[in-house]
Amino acid sequence: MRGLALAMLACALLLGACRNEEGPALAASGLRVLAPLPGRSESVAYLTLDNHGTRPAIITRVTSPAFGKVEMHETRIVDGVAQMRPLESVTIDGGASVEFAPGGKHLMLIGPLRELAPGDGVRLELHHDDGGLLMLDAPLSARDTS
Amino acid sequence: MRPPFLAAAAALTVLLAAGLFAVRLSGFGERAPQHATLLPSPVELPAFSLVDQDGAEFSRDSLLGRHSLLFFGFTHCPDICPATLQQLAVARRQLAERSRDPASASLPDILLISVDPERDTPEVLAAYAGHFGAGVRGVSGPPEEIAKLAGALGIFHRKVPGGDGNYSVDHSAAIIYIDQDARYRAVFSAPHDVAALAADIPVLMALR
Repeated sequence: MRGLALAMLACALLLGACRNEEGPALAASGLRVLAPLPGRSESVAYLTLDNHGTRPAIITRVTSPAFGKVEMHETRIVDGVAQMRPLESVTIDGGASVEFAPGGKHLMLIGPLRELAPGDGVRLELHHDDGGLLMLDAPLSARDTS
Repeated sequence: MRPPFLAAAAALTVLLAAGLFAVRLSGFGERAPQHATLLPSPVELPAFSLVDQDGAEFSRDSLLGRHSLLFFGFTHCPDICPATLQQLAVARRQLAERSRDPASASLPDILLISVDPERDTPEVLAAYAGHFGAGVRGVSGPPEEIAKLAGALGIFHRKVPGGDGNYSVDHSAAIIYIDQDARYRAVFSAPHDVAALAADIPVLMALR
């Protein structure tokens, strides 16, 4: 009985390892969550997502306990015209990176649920299509005009 | 002896000519902007009547005697509008710091022309523009008056419905330079870059 349990545990560990090996392994870097500008109730966050796995990682939704709504958006310059459009999902292919940066993809943070000031901690929750969740924390930063 | 002497004289002449040309370009004449596109000839602006962030009228006359950089956008835009205003504000600050006397340096006005007058009241614009520091101001007004200015500058803008009754506004991302005679002289095309702005703004301000 004990041997069987050990064997099952070994199999489970092995399967887990295999899943990790093949599945998406998403890492975030350079997260910047900018404070809303005076009089505004929306703000923006930028980051880079690296998928160290082999399968694509698909982010379908982003939430935050600090904001009523978070939307994934993309600014595109088409014939000199800036167009901001919502993104239903963002796919990071295995071994690839996706950058959320000014003038491109960004997270639009809408409706702060509490008074926020630079330095306050903000959590962002990136939901995967497979039910996985990547939680990120960063201090709110002011836009630097220096 | 004669051929080497002639060759040296010819080389000297070429060097002198090149030097004079360089001096003309860099000092006494007009330099060409490296990033902005100069219009083949200045374009006179039509009459228009907008409202600035203090509630005062903002017209063509408001641009006379000043160097102005115009960016058309709106305050509900979280990405490219604040990013561009920030780039302009940083470039302006760099120009002030480069000047021997920052207090009296000739610096351009940075104007956010809001294409969303429905939401961007003077109060909203004042709070928003104030964040970017000295020299940044907000202007808006009736859609038909915005259209007069935007039309003369080739600026496109269009309201785009979004979810929950919200909307966004597509808008040209260019930065427009208006000279002291209220004439459209040059345009920076997106994407923008602080170093390019800081390099070319003084060149544009030196245009005759």
